[in-house]
Amino acid sequence: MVSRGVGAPRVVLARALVYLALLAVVAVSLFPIYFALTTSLKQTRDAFTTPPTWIFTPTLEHHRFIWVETPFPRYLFNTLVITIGTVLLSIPLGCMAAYYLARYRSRPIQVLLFSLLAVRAFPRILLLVPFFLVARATQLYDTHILIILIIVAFNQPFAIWLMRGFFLDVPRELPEAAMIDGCSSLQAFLRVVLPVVRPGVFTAALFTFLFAYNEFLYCLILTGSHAKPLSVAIAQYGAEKIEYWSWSAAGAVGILAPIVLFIAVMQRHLVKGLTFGTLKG
Amino acid sequence: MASRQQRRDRLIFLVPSMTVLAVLLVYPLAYSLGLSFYNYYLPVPHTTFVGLDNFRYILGDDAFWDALGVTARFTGAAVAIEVVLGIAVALLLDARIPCRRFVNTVVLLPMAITPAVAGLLMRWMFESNWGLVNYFLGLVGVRGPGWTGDPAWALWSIIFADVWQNTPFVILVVYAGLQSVPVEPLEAAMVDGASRAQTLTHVVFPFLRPLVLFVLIIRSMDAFRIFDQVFVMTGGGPGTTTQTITFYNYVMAFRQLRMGRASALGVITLLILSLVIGAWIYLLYRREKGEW
Repeated sequence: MVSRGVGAPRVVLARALVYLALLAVVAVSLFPIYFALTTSLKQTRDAFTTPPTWIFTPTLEHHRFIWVETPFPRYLFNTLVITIGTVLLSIPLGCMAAYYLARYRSRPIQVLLFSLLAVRAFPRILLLVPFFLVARATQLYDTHILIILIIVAFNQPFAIWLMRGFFLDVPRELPEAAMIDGCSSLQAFLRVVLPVVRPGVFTAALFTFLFAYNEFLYCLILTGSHAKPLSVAIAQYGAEKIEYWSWSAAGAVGILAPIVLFIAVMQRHLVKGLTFGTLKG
Repeated sequence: MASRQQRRDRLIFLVPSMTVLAVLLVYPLAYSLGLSFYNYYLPVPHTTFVGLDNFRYILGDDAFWDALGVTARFTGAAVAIEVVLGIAVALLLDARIPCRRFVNTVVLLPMAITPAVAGLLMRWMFESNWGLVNYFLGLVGVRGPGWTGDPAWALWSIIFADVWQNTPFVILVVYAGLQSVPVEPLEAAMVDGASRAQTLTHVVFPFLRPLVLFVLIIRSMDAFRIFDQVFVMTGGGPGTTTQTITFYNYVMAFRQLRMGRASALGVITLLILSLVIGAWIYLLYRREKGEW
């Protein structure tokens, strides 16, 4: 849709208002991130002033501090193990289930699909108590594998719904032809169907990655010094000393930088993933 | 009846994923349900069966009703603002503008940020002394409140934080919807001399209705269980003015160490949500069958 005014001055005015509004939206979206970045680069005495110090001599001291003198590299490592582990487990499991649920139709399958949707609404805290008690009783407390398995479970419904949408677009004849040629259904899936939906798999993987990267509540309770990821570590920097704020700004920039890059590069895939299932219903 | 082929496929394709779900969602859920009938104070190693005592305790607990109220107010306000604002911005983006890709990317950013970190950024924005929100308010002559430290404004700080982070989701979905508004009714409306406002209300909005319903459902579900931002921004305070249901549940389980009681609270939350979601799924299911 294109706005069409009647006279030229009105069009120009409308245009100007649209740009102004969009500029405001962009500014509001970016400002908190910009502020974190500059805070992390300021001397602590410049960082918390009124009015704010706009021009300052940048320093990398806070970044150096958190990456050299605190266990931040360890937390980053934990975050990477958790996110990559989650993607590697969740995507194959989700793809296969989605394929089945797209290929067959029945009343129980409908019910299952909607039950999966309900998982999204689940009060997660309800499961935190059993997870915690089981983790404490076994050796699973503060391990990567426990967090990975939990995130995989919570991510399954999303991955299944998203991937099912992609599989529904694949003509039924495709795997069937392969099976007539002597493939098993697993071979037909792996060799014929999967290559067709590769963009979908990629999109699902991106979202799963973000989902695991951003997980907080379960990690807060179920990890300690061994498996604690970045998200929890940053939130735990207290506010008692003003230096802490500079450090946590540096930490925030550290955890944000990959996301910003990620979004910039993957924008199109993310948009597709978010809107895909929606428009299909 | 399922064919042999289908049964074999089910075993290969569906069962692995469902096993994970059963072990990690269904089993703990059952565990939690069971636990809700027990008195289990973590430091004491033995548990006693207490029937419905935990449920009775919670229903008579003022903090529970407060938390429910806080959660309802938060969800209502945040989702309402996000939907209205999101539709407005999506309509703006729909106008033909240059560097749309850049604008898209920027608008998407807050959505992808770790919620706990977004909470941190927002806590800095709303800091009462050197926070930028109050600085900008000062520039236009308004003396800003203490935000996260002020009982009257703390919940609003979190609402604004949520609006900042989650409006992009609404924008994105509505924008995608706008891209796929069928052209013919639009042209027909134009030929009939409809104004832009009329076209919007009579052609575009009815088309967007299912999308907006979808967004409402997703956003309310997420807003209802907000925790990360509360944890980082206010810790439920000042007092208990920002203590949401999930946060209260966390306090009960991991500060008061009342595992049985916390399970009961989780079960009650689940029941409340199920009622609401049952109604929503009914609506969505009708949509799937094409009965709008």
